[in-house]
Amino acid sequence: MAVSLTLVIIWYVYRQSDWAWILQDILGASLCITVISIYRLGNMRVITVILVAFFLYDIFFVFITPYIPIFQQSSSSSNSSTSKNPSVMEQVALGIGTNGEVVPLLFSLPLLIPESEMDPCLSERKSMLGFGDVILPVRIFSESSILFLIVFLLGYSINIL
Amino acid sequence: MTTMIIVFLLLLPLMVQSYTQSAINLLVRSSTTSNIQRYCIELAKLPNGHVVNITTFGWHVPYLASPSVNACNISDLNNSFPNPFRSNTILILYEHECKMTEHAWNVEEQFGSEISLMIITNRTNTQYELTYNITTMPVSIPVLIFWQNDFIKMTTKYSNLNSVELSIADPPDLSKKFRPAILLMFLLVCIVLLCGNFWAADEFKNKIKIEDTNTNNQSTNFNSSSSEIITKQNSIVPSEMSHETEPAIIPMTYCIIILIICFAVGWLLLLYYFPTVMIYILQGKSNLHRCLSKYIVNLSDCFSDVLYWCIYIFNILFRSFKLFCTYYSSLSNTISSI
Repeated sequence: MAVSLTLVIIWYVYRQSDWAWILQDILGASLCITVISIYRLGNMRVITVILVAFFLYDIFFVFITPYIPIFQQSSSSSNSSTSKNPSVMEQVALGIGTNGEVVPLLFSLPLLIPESEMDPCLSERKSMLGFGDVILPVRIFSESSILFLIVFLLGYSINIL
Repeated sequence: MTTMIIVFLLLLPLMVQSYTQSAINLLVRSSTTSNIQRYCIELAKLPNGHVVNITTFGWHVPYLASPSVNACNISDLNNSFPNPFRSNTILILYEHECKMTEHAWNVEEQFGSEISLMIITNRTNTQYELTYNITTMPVSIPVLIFWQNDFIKMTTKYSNLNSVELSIADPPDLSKKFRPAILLMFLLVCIVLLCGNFWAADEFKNKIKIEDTNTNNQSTNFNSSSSEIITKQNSIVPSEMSHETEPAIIPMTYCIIILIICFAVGWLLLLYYFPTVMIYILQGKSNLHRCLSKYIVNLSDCFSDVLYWCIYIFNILFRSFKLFCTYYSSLSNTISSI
């Protein structure tokens, strides 16, 4: 309890530091492990329904929202410029409009690439993976047959690469 | 479902294309060092189908104009610069109160089509397309848009711009490089997966062990040994005999799934529309930040303040949960009685 609280406080105080991702990942991993180990979702049909629903949810908020006017940011663009519109998911994950403050509900790792080989236009020089992208697929792992597990692991590896 | 997948597959190439057209890299090399520094820069889309060939752009010499030089006024350009410039010169100008197209057109009119233009701007999140009044201002020179903060960084690093050369290039393709972060991320997911499941298995074994012990010690009927009952299709509800040691099981009806999705959508939209407010609420900034930033000047006050809010929030959550459970159990009873 004391260790957990200390980790949270240290992360909170130093959350803007370059190394804060280590603490964030430790806290995130602990949270995910707890959720996975404690909760069951019942059966494969329930899991399938939830995964399909979140698949559509992700598609909408990542790919469709940049084209929907109500989700477009107001900008001071002139006639000669057209604004680039990040998706809702992107804005929330990157903390756009919050001076870099983000809700730490994702795993974050630095790209670990030399500066000279990095694209300076990248707004976020980190690899990020939301907790939902870990917890939901891993639930399948817990509640399915061995053949399905192999397919799942292969698919997940290809997807993450 | 099939329609959604088809729409997704149709939209994907468009999205990839729109993202890759956005920005290129400005390369800066100095005569004193061999390193090439990269900066992010926008290349404006030109009217009338003019295209700047990035690969044959070559190295150019910068010519920095004074911030007071106003490219919106062609006579100001006429009075401020030598004429003509060398053919491989990039004229660096500060943005003034007119369209980018007017800046570029005035420069092209004054110095010819051999010159390149770089405009320093403090506007961000914009993509420049010089389509303004294309019939009268058919700009054909390369127009680079450079963010002012990046330009300041560049001039800080290279104090003498006369000793540097500039070029443009496509950004490095990270997808073709080995990225250790991806491997680490995969390892992290594997750790979570294995730890989570091993822990769950351990809990399950413990539960079975306890149940076995109870079965040996007490003579009970068969019904009481079942740890869960199925009351409805797709829902598993812990029975009255459930022990506290048993892992929790979320009763997952379609209603609950819809609630989860609604919660996820609401959560995301709240973060999107009220980012600052949400961050303040989630981080408990009003209380915790005061405590931590002043290094706990008055520990007891801060602690009691935080504790009060924690208890208050917990109380609300607990009451809501209790209400929900009561409602759910009465609903389940009604359904089972029907």
